[in-house]
Amino acid sequence: MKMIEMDRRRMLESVAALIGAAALPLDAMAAAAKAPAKGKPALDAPTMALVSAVADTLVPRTDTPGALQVGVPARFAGLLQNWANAEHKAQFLAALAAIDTAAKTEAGKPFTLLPASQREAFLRTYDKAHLKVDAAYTKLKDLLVMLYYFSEPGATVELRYEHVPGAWEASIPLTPQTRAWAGANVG
Amino acid sequence: MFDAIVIGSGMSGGIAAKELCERGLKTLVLERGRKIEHGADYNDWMQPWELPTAGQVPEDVLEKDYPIQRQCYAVNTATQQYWVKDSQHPYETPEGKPFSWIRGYHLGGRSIMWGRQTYRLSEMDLSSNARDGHGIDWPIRYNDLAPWYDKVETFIGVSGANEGLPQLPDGKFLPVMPMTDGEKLFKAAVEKNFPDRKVIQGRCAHLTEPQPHHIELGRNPCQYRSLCERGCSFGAYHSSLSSSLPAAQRTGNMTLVTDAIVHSIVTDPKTGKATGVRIIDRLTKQARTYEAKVIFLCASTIGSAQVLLNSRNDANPRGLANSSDQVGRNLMDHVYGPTVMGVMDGPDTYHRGRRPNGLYIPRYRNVESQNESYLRGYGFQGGVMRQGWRGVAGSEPGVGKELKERTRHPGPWVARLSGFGEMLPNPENRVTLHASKVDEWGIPQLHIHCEHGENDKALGRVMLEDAKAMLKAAGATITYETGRLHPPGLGIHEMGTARMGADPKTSVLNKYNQAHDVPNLFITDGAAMVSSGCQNPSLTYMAMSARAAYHASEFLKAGTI
Repeated sequence: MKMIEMDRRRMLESVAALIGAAALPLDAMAAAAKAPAKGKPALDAPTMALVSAVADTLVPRTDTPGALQVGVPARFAGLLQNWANAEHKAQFLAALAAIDTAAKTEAGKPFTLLPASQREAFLRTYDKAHLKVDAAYTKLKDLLVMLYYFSEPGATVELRYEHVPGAWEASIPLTPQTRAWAGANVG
Repeated sequence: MFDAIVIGSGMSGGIAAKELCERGLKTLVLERGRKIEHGADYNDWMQPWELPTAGQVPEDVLEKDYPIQRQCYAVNTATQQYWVKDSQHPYETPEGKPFSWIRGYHLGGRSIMWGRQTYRLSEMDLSSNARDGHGIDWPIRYNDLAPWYDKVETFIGVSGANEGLPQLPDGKFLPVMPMTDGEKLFKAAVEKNFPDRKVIQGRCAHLTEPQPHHIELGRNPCQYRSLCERGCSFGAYHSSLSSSLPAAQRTGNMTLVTDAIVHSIVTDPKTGKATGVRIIDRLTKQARTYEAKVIFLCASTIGSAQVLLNSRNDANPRGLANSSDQVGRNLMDHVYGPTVMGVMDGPDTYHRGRRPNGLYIPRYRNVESQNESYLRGYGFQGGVMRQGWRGVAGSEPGVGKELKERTRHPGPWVARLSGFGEMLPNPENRVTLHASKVDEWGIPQLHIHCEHGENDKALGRVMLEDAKAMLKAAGATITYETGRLHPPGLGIHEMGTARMGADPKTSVLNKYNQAHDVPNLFITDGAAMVSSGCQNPSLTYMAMSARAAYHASEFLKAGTI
């Protein structure tokens, strides 16, 4: 068990080195360390770096935590290891790799090595071309986004979540400040 | 020797047990699955971020163990404990004719995971077979069931509103769960454009305002969490665990045995009466027999047919209570699948809480008389809610701050309708015992042959068109539609395999749910249904269970069974 923890930590450190340590705060490290671990790490360091960069670009830190702060990359790795079957795991990884390949072709650099502003511009264009067209990308994006809004900060700091609402209020005012309800059964 | 044995602890068995115990009968309840503790064994405490693998059951596990169960909307890691492993409980269907048998083997059965929609059958439903000649006539009419609907609704607690509709009788209701503003708009538009249609708030077995008899059983008001299928620690919806079994237990008359898989019903060859039940212990696989004066078979529509068929003996080579050859036949489900969604304009309001309920559109076709090219009709379930975060995030491209900002706010009003149609009884839709294959307890496996007929398919087509027309009338832009019928079974309203009827030659049960051939055997689950209506059927099973328990105890007192 200790060995595995060490491996995970080393993997995360190498991810941190790749994407810039500042972008990977301690709470992401902690969340990743808590993610289920069986045997070797679910994803190799370059893949972790890539998924971290993609998740960070999709859901960045703003006035609320982003995908990295809530541990989306590690949760994603956990899902590929403990949820997805081999075929779907390969599809998710291929969808990730396709982003990287396109970045090299179209922006001249691997996605992880693009500066943050270029990453966003590139992914915006890529997203427009691929969402709902490319099934594997669409699923990848949905999964990463879902993991963010399922996280405690995603559900309670970015959105609003009441585990036990205690009442049904069929009509409440909707203002520009109103946040959407989080959770699984909200449409 | 017990006074009564109830086979099955689900929706029907729970009420049968309560009623028999309250009438003073020493009652044994047999459950094939494991014991579950109300509250302690539920996962309703899990927050979204605590769900194993984000709520998604591992795909290899689904493929290996749950290829059928996974089709059910309520399967996730918080409810996984409630679904049978298909790998452990196999059955056969003909090539190209799937039947989705969705079930759970544990104390309380599907009363834990049910959809909780609660509707009465009407005079129209109970006379439909007589009207068009499909199936046989019901031996009872609405007035026979009405007092038992009253009794069961009062006991279980049903939220709803009286509407005065002949095709969907009113009942004993707790306060209604109000409509959203989008729903009010939708209701007004549909009722204005289609004067024959009514959009009403769904009736559901939730305590909006618990009454003293609910509170005595430890039940609490609905908390609007919509985590119901995990089991509700508040006991806010009716289940065997929250409601009927505790009521049976407190009489001191109930004995509960779990892990007891009923193999067959034992009869006395001299009298033809049932003397007891032979079970196989789920864990040790040892057989034993329990004896009683009267037996209630509530093992679910397909499970009960299996028990009857497997109770075959020299005197009853086709199975018990089957001189009519109707056991296992006339298997029905609701015609289910066609669904439409659309985005519509509405007021700048939102809603708070997760209402475990929706809209209902009662049947409006062929109500007064037969005037369509197809027989019977259909109703709709649905709702109009603000689109949730996942839909908002995925609805159009966007990344970064833009994606976050869009997803932060409630989405547009989304209207959704799904049809539930009445399936005609057809004797060729049937379950039979497999000639050679047995399960791991040595009980013959089932072969299920069930397919939609032409009328069923016609209902599917018109319900899709109607749903689209109603959404459009409310100004909605259709964003999703499917007319595909799910395989029968997936409506999870299977029924009909031991139908009631006046004539022992063409039916299994009489008007008291009493087997024509075996006077001390009563079957009160979905098997007894003679036609399917288009309403969610659990309330009718419970009403029949309570009614039959009354008659059985009277017959016992009178010494006639």
